[in-house]
Amino acid sequence: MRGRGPGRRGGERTLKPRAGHVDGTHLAIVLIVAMSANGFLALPRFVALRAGGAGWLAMGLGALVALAGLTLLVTALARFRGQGLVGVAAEVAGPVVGRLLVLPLFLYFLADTALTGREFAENLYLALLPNTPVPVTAAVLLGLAGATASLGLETLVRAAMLWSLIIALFLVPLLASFVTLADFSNLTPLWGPGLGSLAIQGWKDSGLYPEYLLLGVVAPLVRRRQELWRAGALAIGGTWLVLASLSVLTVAVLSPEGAARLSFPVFVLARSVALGRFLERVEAVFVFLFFLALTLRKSVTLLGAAFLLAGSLDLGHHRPLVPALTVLAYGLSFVPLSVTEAAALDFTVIREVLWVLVVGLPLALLALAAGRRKGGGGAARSR
Amino acid sequence: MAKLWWERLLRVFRPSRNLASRTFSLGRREPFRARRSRQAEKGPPPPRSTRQPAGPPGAPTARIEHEKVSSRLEDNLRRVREVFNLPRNSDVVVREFRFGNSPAIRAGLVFIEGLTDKNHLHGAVLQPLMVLSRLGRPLPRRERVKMVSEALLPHNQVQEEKELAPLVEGVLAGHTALFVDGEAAGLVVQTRGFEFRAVEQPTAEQVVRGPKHAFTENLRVNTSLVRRSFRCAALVVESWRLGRLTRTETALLYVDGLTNPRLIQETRRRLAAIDVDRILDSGQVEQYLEDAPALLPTVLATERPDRVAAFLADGHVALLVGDSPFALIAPATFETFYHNPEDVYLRWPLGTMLRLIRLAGVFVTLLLPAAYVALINFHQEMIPTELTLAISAAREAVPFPSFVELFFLEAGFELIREAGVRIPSVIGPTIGIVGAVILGQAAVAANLISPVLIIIVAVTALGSFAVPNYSAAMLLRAYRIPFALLGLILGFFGIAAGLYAMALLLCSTKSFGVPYMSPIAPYRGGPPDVVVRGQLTRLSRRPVYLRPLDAISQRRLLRKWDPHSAELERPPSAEPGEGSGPRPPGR
Repeated sequence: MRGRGPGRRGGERTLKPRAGHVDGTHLAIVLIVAMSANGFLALPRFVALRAGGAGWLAMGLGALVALAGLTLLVTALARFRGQGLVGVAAEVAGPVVGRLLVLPLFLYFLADTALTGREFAENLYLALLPNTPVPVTAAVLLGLAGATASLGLETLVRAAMLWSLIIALFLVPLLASFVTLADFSNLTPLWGPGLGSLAIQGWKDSGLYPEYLLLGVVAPLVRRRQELWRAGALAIGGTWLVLASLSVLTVAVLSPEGAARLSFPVFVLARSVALGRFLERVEAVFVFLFFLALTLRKSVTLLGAAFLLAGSLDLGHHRPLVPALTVLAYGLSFVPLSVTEAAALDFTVIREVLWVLVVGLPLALLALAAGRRKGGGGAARSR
Repeated sequence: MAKLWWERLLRVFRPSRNLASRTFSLGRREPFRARRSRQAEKGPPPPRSTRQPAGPPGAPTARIEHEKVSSRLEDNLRRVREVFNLPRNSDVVVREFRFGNSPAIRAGLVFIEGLTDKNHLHGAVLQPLMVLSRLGRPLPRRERVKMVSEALLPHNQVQEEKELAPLVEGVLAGHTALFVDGEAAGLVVQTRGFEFRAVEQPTAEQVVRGPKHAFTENLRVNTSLVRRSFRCAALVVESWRLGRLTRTETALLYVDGLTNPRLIQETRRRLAAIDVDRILDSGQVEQYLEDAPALLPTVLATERPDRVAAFLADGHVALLVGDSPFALIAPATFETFYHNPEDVYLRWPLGTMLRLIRLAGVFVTLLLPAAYVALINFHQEMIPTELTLAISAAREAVPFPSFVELFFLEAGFELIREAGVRIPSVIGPTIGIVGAVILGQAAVAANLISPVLIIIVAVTALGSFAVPNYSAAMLLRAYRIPFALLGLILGFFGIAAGLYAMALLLCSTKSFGVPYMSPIAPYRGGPPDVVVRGQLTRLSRRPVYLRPLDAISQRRLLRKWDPHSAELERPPSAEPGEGSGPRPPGR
């Protein structure tokens, strides 16, 4: 994607494409793959820890909260035709405060790129590649994510569409094979820790879907802007479906206590897949599934970070930022001392407060726009 | 200052691969009415023949660029002799003669021996002029060239030219130039006739079911082969000359009113930009036309006229280059490289099966050696115990690591293949037998390689030969070693990384502005004709990514006798049985 960054005149803050747009539905596929990828890491573990067998319900509630955030975001974007999240923030809050508003999202994208890379590299080291140093694996992962982000949104969308077919091809048999091992009594009681706790957990689980905000960042590049809500809803709903399936089957097979002890529960489940005498121990094959999903996730977050930074700094193009951000994410990924610490930072610190971004950021933008009477009805100053 | 540095940085990181595609895209389809009105405003299509400027300094046509034909025959022939370096040039013939009576008129013919058909020249040019012209009335004093062209030369193609350059160019193309004294114009008489290979069977794209003729080394024969398969007046064959020195005749083919005008315009733009001294084969044009120097073939080469006709009917453009027996098709997407005309000629389940086999061939070629190396070195737990023991026993005496073993065997295979192509065909099979059987057996007996690996390499080779496109098959074979290396270093993780990188390459490549992975990524709907070959009755739309002016290739309800179609077609109030009757007017 070739984009022109926000200009200095007239609040013109759009990533104006010179060539190429993407469909909302295609973006939804990218987001489903990216947001679901967490399910292949330690997410089922933390879901089991916090909500027991009712994790899927909590994630469902979280999806509803994220949908509310999406609605607010789309409403805010609709007031400023042709603008993305960065442009809207600058319009409603001024250039400095606007940048501060989107800064947490940039930091989240960067932190997620780093932590996901570290977690996956460590898990690969423990499960499959004990002789390959973690920095090598992490470098390969981040290098490919950087290359994807550098090639732009169009390439990312096409790659995601291609890989989503392969991911589905691996994921469906994997889940089907889990069903035969599942003990669904592990999912009771249905309300898990209780309705009150479940509601609170559900609210916090909206932090599993912050990538939908990328729709706001790339809104100027979406072919039909009115598709944004539909694309976001499709992404959030699809992600919930995948995450809930993974979570339900993990807990049903391993029990909540068993799942809570594992850092890479889906891989452990994959080990139990046996399709016959000559098809035993095929878990290594599923590395394709984990690899594709997680690399796409990192590409999405890295691209989001690059877009946000380029937009905030009034730069004309995101591409030169990508190598620097990749190296930065690589360095940051080794800040946690161990994979346990990285996963804990990801799921018990960052995701606990991510609801602020998921709901708070769109709400703040809309409130500021309404309060300052900016935008609306075609937005005189927007393009 | 900071902005300056930023711009520099931007230039560094801006990949060149997308530059061409950025400047061109087929764009979105306009509404039908808008298209019609725009076409009406635009008027007639562009001129049929678009020629590049004359050649480089020193080339014959460059020396006489814009030079008018003189009314004195001596001057014209002197200039021609100078241009063709006569008498040093031994194959250029200048023949002076007289024709007509009362008084006889002096004239001169210029042609190149070997390029012209002598019988044709004698019977259709010299004889009418020197013999028949004396039988009738005296020729008029003015417009003699016109008179000769209209009344004396019984030839189907004669063109009057006022400048020397096209006359000389015609001579170089094998035609005959005729100068008449007293006339400031000359004639190009099409007398080309030289030896070329007859139309034969395809060598690289053979089919069991379907036409069995292929292009040959003659442009006009090749265009006629396409016309035989595509008998439609809307098919346009535009003439081009490429190469400043070689002046290679090239034909750009498209269907007027169907092919996207932007695609035609873009092809013209790229052809006009080919400013090189030589074009000897379509393989060179293919590389000059690509969006960017890509690792993947982005223009399809085919030797089958029926395939060209099918692509033209879909809205592609085709190029026939000089004496090349391969036509070029643009744009080309990934799917076209594993499709084969036979897929369509056979019934859809068989067509689908063949495509699946070829796709399996693609993956086997690319991944089987890599998977073997990864399994041996990283993922032994996946192999059943009995098989592990068998492989270990076979490899026990082999002193090399698996990758080295694989590398040497693959290199040996490529050596045999290359030798088999280059050596005379009489001993070609011998090389295959010697290489494959004797050397292979000897290598296993000497414990240099394991028998399992011979199976792996043999299956890989078979997989690559199942890919119908030569360039694509070669490319796949080239990529298998890097993939094996990734399998050696990082196991399945490395292979996954390689596949991911390859997907990035595929997804970021464009052919004439069309995404290479169309119509899968981006998915644009359309008939099922990518992996599964849909039923012909359902393939009613042309590829969406080409944005053809007419998206419908056939009516949906074309099988009027089909009870199901009749059911769909019948108006709600009609009586049973009426649906199979004649179609109502206007539908």
